[in-house]
Amino acid sequence: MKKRMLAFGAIVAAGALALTGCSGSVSSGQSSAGGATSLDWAIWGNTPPEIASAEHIAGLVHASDPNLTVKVQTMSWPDYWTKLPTTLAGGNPPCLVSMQMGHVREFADSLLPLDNLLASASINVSDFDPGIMKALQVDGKQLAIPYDLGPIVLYYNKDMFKAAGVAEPQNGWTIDEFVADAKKLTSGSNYGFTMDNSIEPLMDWAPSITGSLPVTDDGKLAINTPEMVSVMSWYAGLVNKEKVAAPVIASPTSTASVAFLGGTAAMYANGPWEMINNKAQAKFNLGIVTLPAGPKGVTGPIEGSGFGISKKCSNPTAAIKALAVLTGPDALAYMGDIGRAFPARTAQQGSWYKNAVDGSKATLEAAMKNGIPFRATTYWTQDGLNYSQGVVSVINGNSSAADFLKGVQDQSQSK
Amino acid sequence: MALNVVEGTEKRDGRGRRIASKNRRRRGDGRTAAGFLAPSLGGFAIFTLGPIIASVVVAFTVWPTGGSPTAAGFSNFVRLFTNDPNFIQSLKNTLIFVFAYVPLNLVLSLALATWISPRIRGQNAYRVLLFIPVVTPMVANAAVWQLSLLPSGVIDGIWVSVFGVHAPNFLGSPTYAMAVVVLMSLWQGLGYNLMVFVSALEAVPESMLEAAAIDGASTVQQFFRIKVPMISPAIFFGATMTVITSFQVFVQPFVLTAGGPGNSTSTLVMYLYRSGFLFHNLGYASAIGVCLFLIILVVTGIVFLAQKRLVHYE
Repeated sequence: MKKRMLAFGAIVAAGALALTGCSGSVSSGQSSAGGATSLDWAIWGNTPPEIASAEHIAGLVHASDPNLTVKVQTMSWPDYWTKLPTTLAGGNPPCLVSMQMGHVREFADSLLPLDNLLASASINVSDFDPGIMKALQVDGKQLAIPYDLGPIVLYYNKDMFKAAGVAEPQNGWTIDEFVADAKKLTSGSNYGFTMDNSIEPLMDWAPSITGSLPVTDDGKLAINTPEMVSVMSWYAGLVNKEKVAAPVIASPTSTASVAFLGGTAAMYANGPWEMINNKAQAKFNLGIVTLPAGPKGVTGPIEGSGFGISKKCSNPTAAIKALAVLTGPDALAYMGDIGRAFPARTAQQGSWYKNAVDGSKATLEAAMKNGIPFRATTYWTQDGLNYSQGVVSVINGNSSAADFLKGVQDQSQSK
Repeated sequence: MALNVVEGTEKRDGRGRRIASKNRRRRGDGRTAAGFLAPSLGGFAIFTLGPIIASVVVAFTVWPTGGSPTAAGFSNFVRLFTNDPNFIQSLKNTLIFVFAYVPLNLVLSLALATWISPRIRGQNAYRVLLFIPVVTPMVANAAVWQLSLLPSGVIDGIWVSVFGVHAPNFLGSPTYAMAVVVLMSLWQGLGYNLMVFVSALEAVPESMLEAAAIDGASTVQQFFRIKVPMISPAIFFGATMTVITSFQVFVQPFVLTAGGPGNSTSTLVMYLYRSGFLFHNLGYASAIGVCLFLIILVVTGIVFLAQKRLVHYE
């Protein structure tokens, strides 16, 4: 009896020891063994082409310094913004954090200001597009080095245009032309346009229609203005009045691209970063054109993203070196080449044009000429959530834009 | 009871008669029992009981993610019930879901079980087919349902070719959205109770049914007067489990409709998730969790009370 108990106890103890051995790295976001350092890097985009692209440029870091390895952690776009606060608050946050300009204010407290570190890694600020550099600053402090930028453009299905006998759109076309074409393309179970319930479209169309954004310069929400109500009413009207887009649902993931890539919607608005997914998944001829222009002409917010270093990173020296390679000429030329990102480095932008669909250079240059920097509120994730919950009934024609926008403004903490 | 069957543990007196040695027996068995229970109880204590107690403690604090907790007494609970229309709406939605889903699930799975429980041809095939939705991941099922029901999806395409007009926006209208959530949950969950009921029905002795038939009972009377009471323990089990899990519904409304349109399909667990991870109010989220725990406790208590009157054990 006693022997059996002893044997049993020994097995349990051995098991417990084995389990404690399972816990891996110790310090935050990086681990060292001998001279080798390994850094964790969080980035969104978990379609196979996107994961491959992240792994590739992480490999460039290792090639430049065999003692430095970057471990990629990817997740889908909406999940990223939910998971990031929890990850950063936890005990082992990643050293390298991908940051979109829309969310940089929200995470300002968790990111290390990079201004003093740039020289040590030979990062030259003037190599990058000034607009996106500024967009990744909060209160004058550079919180991330940009890797991509882009205006919102309109992707369209050339085959559907041809089948409906509609001439292809030209850069600089107007909203009236857009609605007229969309009506001709809407028949049977196909629609001319596709949209979903996210807050970005309001930002995309507002500058061209009214010349303003629903966010002030210092990050406060101003969505309840008459200008924004008119933009919202027009946008919702595409579904409930003109009937050129399918009614929307509330969804935790974006469903707008489903109709476009499935061939049941002829036009779809997004940025240059979608080129990689669109080219991979579209079974039709892909076209690109500027977003239809309202009374204020071709203008819109320039979005973009970069990589930053979390404040809790215990090896910022290694992190900034990795950052220099991840945003270096080779990495960004590669990203542009495969259509994953329109490079934030001015000299490398040609690579994206080379492999994008015909007409992309003209479209992007026209779209960016009068672009304005995107700005977001301090609680952008929550504002976006409040918006996306309630906008469904506005778009589907069941409630008024004015009441809805007032509700979003009242509920916001960013005012 | 004679537990000393293990060799060498019996005590005998000088004449070889066994001496009762209760104390020694109990202690020996106690240690053995504790040894075998330790992994399970240990796991329960560490991974279930500990977090539950911690969660109740956190419910009395205000704790932003990334910050530190500060004691807040009952303020979270007061705010939940007096100043939070979202919570009241989630509570309403959850109750609607429970009252729609549980009776339908029990009735339909009992009906299906009755249909396939006699030795009909292909019984096993039916069982497998009806059980497959249970074992497939809920998220994958919900995602497929969402893509099918999208206003530009498969169902809409079929609707247009059959009726010539677009289908109603099932997931985008507040009235239909909850119905779709219930429907999808039924499709997924029927299989589980079905298996339980089929086993229970097969255990009903044939002799009893034959005796009833001889006495002139019709099939319907046989079913309601004999079969149902005989399987009432299984129905009780199914009812309790279904009630508890339906109060915790999260995946279906989250993936299908993200709690919307508006918050017409937002349930208690969804609101808990939002408060904790999207609005960074860990204390508030724990308070919601404690409320949910108490509600489930009360409802399960009611089901147990009903058991005394309605369930017949042999």
